[in-house]
Amino acid sequence: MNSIRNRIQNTLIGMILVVGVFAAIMFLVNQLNVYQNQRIIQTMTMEYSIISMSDNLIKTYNNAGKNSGNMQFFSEYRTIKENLLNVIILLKTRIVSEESRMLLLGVEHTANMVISECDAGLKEIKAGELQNFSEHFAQAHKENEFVQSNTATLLQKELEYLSSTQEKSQQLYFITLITSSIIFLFVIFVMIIYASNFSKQLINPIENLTKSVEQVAAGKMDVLINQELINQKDEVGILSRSFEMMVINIKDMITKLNYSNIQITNSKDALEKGNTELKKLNQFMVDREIKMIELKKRISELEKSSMQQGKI
Amino acid sequence: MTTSKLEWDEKYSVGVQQIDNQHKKMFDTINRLIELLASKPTQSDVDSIVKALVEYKQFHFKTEEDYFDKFNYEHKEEHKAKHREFNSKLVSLIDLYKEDTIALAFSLVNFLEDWLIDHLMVEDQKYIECFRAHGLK
Repeated sequence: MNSIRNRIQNTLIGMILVVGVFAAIMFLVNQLNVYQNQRIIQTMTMEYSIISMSDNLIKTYNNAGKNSGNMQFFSEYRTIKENLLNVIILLKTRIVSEESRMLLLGVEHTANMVISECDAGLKEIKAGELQNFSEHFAQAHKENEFVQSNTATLLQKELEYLSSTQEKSQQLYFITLITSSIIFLFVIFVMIIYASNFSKQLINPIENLTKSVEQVAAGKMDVLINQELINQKDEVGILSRSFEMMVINIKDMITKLNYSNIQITNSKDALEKGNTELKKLNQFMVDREIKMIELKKRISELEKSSMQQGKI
Repeated sequence: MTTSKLEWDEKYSVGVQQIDNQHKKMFDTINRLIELLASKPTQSDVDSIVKALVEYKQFHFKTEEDYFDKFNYEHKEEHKAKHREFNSKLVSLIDLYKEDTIALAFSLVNFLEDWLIDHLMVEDQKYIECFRAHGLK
């Protein structure tokens, strides 16, 4: 049965779903934006660390040269070198923009130059040949400046990218907000029209039925209930059918009552007629008794007069 | 319910058995009608007995009048006039109560009794001598 209760429930569920979906979309867009920004900032931090690592690398190389034979600087150098290479590999997977990717390749190239210069120097130190130490250091220092300048350029590009991404995501956010608002307003509009239609559908039959009920209340039992109401498959339909049944039953009762009233009137008339006849008969009897007394008086008078005539 | 009846008495006799019998019969019929009226009669019961009474009355008048003519009774025209007067009163009564048989029956009984007593004790007494003189008993 397509009951009124079900329709109201479905409408409410529909409204809650629409509002929920738009809230979820807005939340997701916002979260995506925050995540993107965080990722870009992390990437930039990593890029920035290349500068210090490259600096540390040549410092360690210098220390290793000055304190030749101290293995601590060798292992420190290896760690820094591995970290630097790892960061560059990791950055390759994280960098998205094509321009930054090209700049990263430049950074990698110059970093490799620094590393190969220092590696070559360290190899000679291990072999005890210290004559080229300063030359390698000066070369590495020069390459390090390129690393630094290239990384700075990369950072600048990344900043520009971040700024453009933020702008884009802000635009996206704005577009989503506008679109969502428009769709939301449209849905609300549709809902209002639906609710108005629905209430008309609900109220019109009730008003219709109310008219019939008022007529019956005013005593007009020959009221006709709209056939559409009777056929309706909801609570109003049930109400209309019950009401129709009630009117039929009342009519039936009235007919029965009228019939018994007629019967009572008939019996009353018959009784009254009988009574009248009885009264009439009684009156005749009483009149007759009076008349008999007079008649007997007359008989004795006549008797007397005939006796007198007889005497004469 | 019971009501007084008028019973036959020798003082009503005209000394002629045939005519006395007819008078007795009329007393009887009137009394039967009175009894019937006292026992809530139906219209048709009353109707039939009233009709019988009226018919018998006419028959009785004819008997008397035949003797008047036969004996050439001196007051015969006067007496016949009484009979006609009775008949016209009867007709007017029947006409008056044609809608109500029971009322008709009552007024008929009262009228018949009054008339019968007067007639028997006054008019009929007059022809006794004439009838006797012609040998009627």
